[in-house]
This record gives sequence, structure tokens and C-alpha cells, in this order.
Amino acid sequence: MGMKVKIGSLILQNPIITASGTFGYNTEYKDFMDLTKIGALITKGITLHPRQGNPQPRIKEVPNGMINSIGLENVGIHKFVEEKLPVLKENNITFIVNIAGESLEEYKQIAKICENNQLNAIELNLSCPNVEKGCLEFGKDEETICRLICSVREVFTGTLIVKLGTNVSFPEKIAWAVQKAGGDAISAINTVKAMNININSDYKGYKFIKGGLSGKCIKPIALNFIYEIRQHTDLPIIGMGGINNLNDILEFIAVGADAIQIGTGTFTQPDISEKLADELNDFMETRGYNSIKELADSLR
Amino acid sequence: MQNKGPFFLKILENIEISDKIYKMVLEGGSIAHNSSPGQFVSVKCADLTLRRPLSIAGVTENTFDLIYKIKGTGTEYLAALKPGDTADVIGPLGNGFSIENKNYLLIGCGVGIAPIIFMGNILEQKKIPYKSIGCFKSKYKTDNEYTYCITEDGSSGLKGRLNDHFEYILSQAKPDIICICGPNPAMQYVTEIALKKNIDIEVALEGDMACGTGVCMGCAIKIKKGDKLESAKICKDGPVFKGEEIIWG
Repeated sequence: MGMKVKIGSLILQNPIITASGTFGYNTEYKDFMDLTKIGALITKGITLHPRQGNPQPRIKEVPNGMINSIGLENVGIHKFVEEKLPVLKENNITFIVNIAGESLEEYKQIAKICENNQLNAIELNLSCPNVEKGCLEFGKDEETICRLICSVREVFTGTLIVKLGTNVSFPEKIAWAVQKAGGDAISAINTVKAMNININSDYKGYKFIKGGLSGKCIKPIALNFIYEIRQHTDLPIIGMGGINNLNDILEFIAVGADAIQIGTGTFTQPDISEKLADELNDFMETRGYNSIKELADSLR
Repeated sequence: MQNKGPFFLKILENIEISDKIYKMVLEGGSIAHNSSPGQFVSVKCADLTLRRPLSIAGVTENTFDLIYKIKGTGTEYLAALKPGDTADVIGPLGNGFSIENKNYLLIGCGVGIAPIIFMGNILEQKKIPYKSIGCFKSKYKTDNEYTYCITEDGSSGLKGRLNDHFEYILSQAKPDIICICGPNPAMQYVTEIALKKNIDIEVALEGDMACGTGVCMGCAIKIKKGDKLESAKICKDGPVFKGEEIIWG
């Protein structure tokens, strides 16, 4: 068994997954690490049509993290299938496609294209804070989430992961809704709505960026979110938010995560996901844990 | 596949060469061998989330130079490093200037001199003819000599700014191609003149980056490709672009 984890029907060799938007479409990080060492790669968020994204400025470093406002710039599902997908297959990379729609119908259309191309797993982005339409508005209440998941389920038979954010009133109700509607797993958390202000040097006016906060500073928020939803769902949870070292991973497992994602950490250290997969393996061997479940049972 | 790090490299030198502008020399054969002028490396700065992209200013067999300006916490950390300390570096990243058998005019303004010094060295080695302009606020403590040095205070070479002397220098140098790195207004000014006179022009842009590898889209800008607008990442598709592609904001 070792480090293997099962998410829906998808079996990962280890629980380390690279987060959407931080690892490209396929082999962008091949010059920095061995891509076959990670559990899975989650692609950049893909929409039905190509998206231009938001105007500059798009990023700002803040203490222990960063704010981004990319606005889901991506090539669209058709170009993804045509150009990016063959490279993922050629390189034997286990991958999950992150998809984002402006409407329920769009999510369904993208999911159908994924099904037609025999893709094993998708992650529904219901929590991007940086687009005007779609995403977040579908992740806010349990009724909308249910309808969305049910209609995606009609066309997609593979593993269905639902990515949630903290910008909701009742996380536990949302988690329960995902399970009831037929989702296979929950990933959380997406970036947290935030703003950075730069007051002009003459103290007249200011410049700002509004976007999603990520990095070490959101780890306590993420841990609390996962702790809360764990009480209300039996689904596998993929935890993320500020993971940078082995101890962070153990903390996420302790509060209820079955696997984890590395996002902003890759920007700091491009080979961090490979390094952490090795470290977790060594840790489990040294301590005599035979499975992630055994490790989780011991931590909880 | 090329191994681009992270490399843990020994710092051999780290000195202030002008006000708040530093030159760092690092040991590192892989980066030295694989770099071309206009490319950059990205350096981890203590516990900061984002690495800092720094332009490569020259290479030897086993070392490479970086020139950077103190702008905030990250570069302050770098400036405080001492010979013998280690830096966590990835690179080389991005695409550099094109190198062809043409008559070059190289222009570097302030800290933008970094890729221009490197480019001069490479053209020298390849025996490709070139002239260079270095524009600074005041005298620079480097070993490099430029065909034309311009300082705002007149402490070295010609007194004034680039636009006070550029058209005269252009008439003397008669380049086929100009490569420039510096503040956007200077690059825009030179690009407009070059395009009017049908001289090829390549500009090295600067931008805030998160990943430096082309995945985060944080530094993406719109560029002109014929009649179309396309998205381009400064870190991966640049930092060097053709002058006619740039939309100056």
C-alpha cells in the first residue's frame, strides 16, 4: 500500500498533488524535477473558450504570501485537448483537469468533452475569486452546488473533485451537499479574497490590487476549514493552503485531509512537490507506517 | 531537458557599483554555460514567498555575474550577502537577444546595463561589430567601457540623458539592429525612432513575476503580432521582445 491514495476511482502513487494554476498544463516544470514522482498534476483552470484574463497588475507579494488576480487566462478546452493533453499522456503523468465555467451549461459542456476524451478525473473550480461570472457564485450555496454537480454527473463518469473556497457562509452544509450530489472528493481551500493597498508617496490617493491570497499566511484558515468540513462528510478531502514542508502535510492529515496540494510553494521552490514526496516516504518508512490511513489514524 | 536548478551556489563577490546598484559574482558552471544575454536567473531571498528575477550580466567558464538594484526587502537581503555565502538560484530563464552577423547598437540605462554588458562580451567573442551606450545618473564603478557613456550629472562621458544624445549617436553608429534594456520611457523613445528609420529593435522588459517559469501568468502582457493581439509572458516568451510587438502603456 505505502503512500498510495484513492480519490474516487483514481489511484495516486502518493498524496502529493500540484495545485491548479501553479504548475502549468503539462511539462512546464520538467527542467526542475522528475514529474513522475508526484501523485498527480492538476492543470491550469480550463474554460470552454480561451480566456484573456485580467489586466496588469496581476500579482503582489505580501508578508508570508501573495495576492493574484490572473482572471483564469487559459487556452480553452479545445486547444487543451489538441495540444496539451497529448504531452501529458506521452510523459505518463497522472493528471486531473481543473475546469471552470461561466454557467452551469458551460461546466457541463467542458465535462462532456473530458468524458469524450476518456479523461479520468476533473476538479470543478467553484471558488475562483478573480472572475466576474461563474466559479465562486456556484460554490456559495448548497442548492446551486447540488444542481451543478448533478448535471456534470450526467455527462461525466470519472472522478469528480469539487474545489471549495472559504468565501461561503456554511462550509459544512456545502461539504454535505457535494457528497449528496455525487461528488467523489472535496479539495480546499482556494485562495482567500484579499486586497493590498499602496498609498501614493504624496499621500494623495492609492494604488491597489484585489485578488486571491495564497501562501503560508492562509494555512491556519485552511486547517480550520478542513477540520470543520471533515465532521460533515466522509468524502476524501484534498487539503491545501500554504503547505511548504513535511510538518505542514502532517497537520493537514491530522485535521482530516487524505491528500494534499502544493500551490504557491512551487513558486518559492520549483521542485518542492518531488522533495516532499520523498520526505513523506522516508518519514513513513522510518516510523513504520504502512499506509496514509495508518498515518492518519495515528495523527487523529 | 536541461537542469535549471535549484542550484545552491557560492557567492564570490557582492559589491555596490553605484548608488543602490550591486554586482554579484556566483560560482555555477551550469548557468554560466547555458546562458545567453537577456536571460535571467531567479534567486530565493530568505523566507520571502517569491524569488527575485535578476538579469545575467556576464559569464566566465565557471562563474556568472548578476547586476541588481535594491528595491525592497528581497534585494536588501541579497545586498547583505557576503562572499562565501550560498544563494539558491534557478535558471537560466526566458529568451535572450538574437545574435546575428549584423551591426549592433547596444543601449543600457541604469541597472538595465546588465544584459547589455553580457551582450557586448558575446559580440566581442564572435567578432560581430557593435557600439554601446551606457546611461547612468552618475559615474559607474565597473570595468566595462562603453563607446558612449552618458551621465545625468556629467561625472563621466557626455552630460545629460539618452534623448539629448541619441539621434547624434545613431547617425554615427549606423546600426542594423538596436538592443536596449532600461526604463520603459527610454525603451519606448528608442523603439519609436528605430521603427521610423527601419532599424531592427529588441527590448528587454522587466515585470513583476511569481513563478518565472511561465505557469502563473502573473507577468502576462498583450503584444502585437501583425494585426493581432496575443498574450505573452515576460518570463517565458520574453523578457526580450521585438520593439514593434510592444504596446507602450
